[in-house]
Amino acid sequence: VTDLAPLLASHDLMFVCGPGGVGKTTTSAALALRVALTTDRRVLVVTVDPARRLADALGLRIQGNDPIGVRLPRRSAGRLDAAMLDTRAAWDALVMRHAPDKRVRERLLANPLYTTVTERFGLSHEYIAMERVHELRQAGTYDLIIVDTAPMANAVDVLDAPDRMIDFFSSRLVRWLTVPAGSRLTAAASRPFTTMAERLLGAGFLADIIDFFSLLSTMESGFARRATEVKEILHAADTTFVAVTTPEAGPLAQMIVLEGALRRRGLPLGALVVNRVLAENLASDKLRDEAARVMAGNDRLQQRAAVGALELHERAKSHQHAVASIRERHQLPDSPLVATIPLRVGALADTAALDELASHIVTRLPRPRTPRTDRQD
Amino acid sequence: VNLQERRLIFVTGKGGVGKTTVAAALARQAAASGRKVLLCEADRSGALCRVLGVPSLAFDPSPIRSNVVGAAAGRLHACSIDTEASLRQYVKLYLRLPVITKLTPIAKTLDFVATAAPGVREILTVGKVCHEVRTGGYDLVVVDAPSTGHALSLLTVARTIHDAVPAGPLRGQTTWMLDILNDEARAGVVVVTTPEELPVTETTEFITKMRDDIARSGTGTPIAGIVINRLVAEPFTRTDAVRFAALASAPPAEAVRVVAAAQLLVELRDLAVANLGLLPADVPQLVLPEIHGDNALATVDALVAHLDQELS
Repeated sequence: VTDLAPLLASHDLMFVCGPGGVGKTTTSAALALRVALTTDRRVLVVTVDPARRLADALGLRIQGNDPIGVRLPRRSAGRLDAAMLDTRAAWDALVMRHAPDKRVRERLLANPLYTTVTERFGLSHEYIAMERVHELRQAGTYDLIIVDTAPMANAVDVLDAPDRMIDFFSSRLVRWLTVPAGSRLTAAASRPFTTMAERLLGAGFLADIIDFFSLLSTMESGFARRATEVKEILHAADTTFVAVTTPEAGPLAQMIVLEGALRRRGLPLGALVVNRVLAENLASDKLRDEAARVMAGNDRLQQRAAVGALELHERAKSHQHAVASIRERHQLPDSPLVATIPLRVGALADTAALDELASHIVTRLPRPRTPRTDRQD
Repeated sequence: VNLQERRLIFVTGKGGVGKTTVAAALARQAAASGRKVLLCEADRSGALCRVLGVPSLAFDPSPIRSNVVGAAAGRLHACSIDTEASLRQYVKLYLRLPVITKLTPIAKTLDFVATAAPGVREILTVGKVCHEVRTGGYDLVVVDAPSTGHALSLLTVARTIHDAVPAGPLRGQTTWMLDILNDEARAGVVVVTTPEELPVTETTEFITKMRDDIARSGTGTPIAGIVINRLVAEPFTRTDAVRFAALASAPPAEAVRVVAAAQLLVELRDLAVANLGLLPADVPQLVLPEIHGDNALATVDALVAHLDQELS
């Protein structure tokens, strides 16, 4: 069994990424729970979109932007908090922090574009997620923060968000939009743009846009400095990445893309977790042979069972094959760990079920720093 | 699901459920049954090429010449909507500004405008789609739309702009676009899901949002149906399932493994059925089976054959 314990012990920030629907949120919560239950570390799991059942499993309703404590068994040495990302609230906090004065702050918060841009601007959510992580890390309240990122398509955006934010503020368009109105409108070079924009959008809307960017640009230096800091945490030595996939063709193909994206950015993939793998014994020849014998017999009910069993056998074989080929790809000493979680039927009803799930990928954890009586396992 | 009379179908769903595959299957099935069809890629992901057997797609619709089912008679067309090209076409057709040369520096910064000014990207995409519906002479236009998270803004942007812009050419454009988009009988949204918990939840939430929006504003693109993709075929009858459970409590020595495996299959199926029970009951459903194998073209072929049976 591959053990992620050393990886968890040697990092204080972990990004969990992967395609949509493979169980990233569950895996993140399970890892965080395991650490909180078996060490004395203070752990935070930040999730972007918790499924209702997960919140139930952790025994809480996550709301707003602030971390909430998860109830753990009484003698647990560690602590576990969970937080959800509220994009709007986090943006408001950012404006509060960086706006030079009250007037700018109020005008920005009241600008009709502010709401749409902060809620819908492609970059907004990803950047704010990173920003929030940075803030939580700086606060020093936690020894380990596990971030459940948005699905695959946006995972790469998260990685690039700080850079894009820096680029955005230094772009020609923003510079142009924020020069004084008189010189802009008379500049010959910009006339076709102005004409077109006004014909397309109407003059009032263009004025809103210009006002919005002018206000935003007053916060530029604070924003840009901050974005640079945020970018640095991605590359910090105690930051690691965990990719989650299922052994199905679609997610596996996306995983290869994700691995490449991380590699190109020089970001370390610490582990690769293959979730929902059908048990090895289903892939064994013993099942196949037994099914063949049943088929040759004359019990109709058992024969129908054998037809189903053979179907499952084929699926299990393709799962084992997928895991084997991932292992093959990662054989070097500095390759990511490859771990698997078996497919389970049924809901994750409570923290015990989550911990059971984690037990497949985290076996031993370093002893807690403070002595305590053993519980669980 | 009554899809036969629609002339515009948006296909959306949670990421990873097989949206593109289903969109391609719907388009190819319609083309194979004699309709002139356009399949549009709205997110420039490049995923459509794989399911059509072509190396690339252009902004201007062109007939698919590969030998996949539905393409043979030259009735299947496809395009990939590029917002920049869409803007050029729009400016040229409707604003009559002297374009190309003067647009070039603007096109470079369009990316920023499009991300910053809400709705620009969406309106250019949906504008191109409506333009093709209006002028392309197609019997059916299928849009491989963005995932549920982003589809709502695509589907509502025309009305948002229509309501926000008091007068002028843009409002005029949105008026005829809305006639196409909100045509109850001929336009529709198909939401693709798999029988797993998260996609089902997301599908239900998306449909609720769409319906709330329609209730609030009085108009909107109607939900045409839900496609349940990758449902593992039911290998047993319900009676069998009950018998297996009995058998599993005292498995015969010669079939221990077989009975345990069959039991697991029944449990997996039960879980899928329970998840699907959470879908809104009043939306028509279309079920597509799980197709094994990793050949995208063959998967769509199998789904086309399946749709042929389901829709005829």
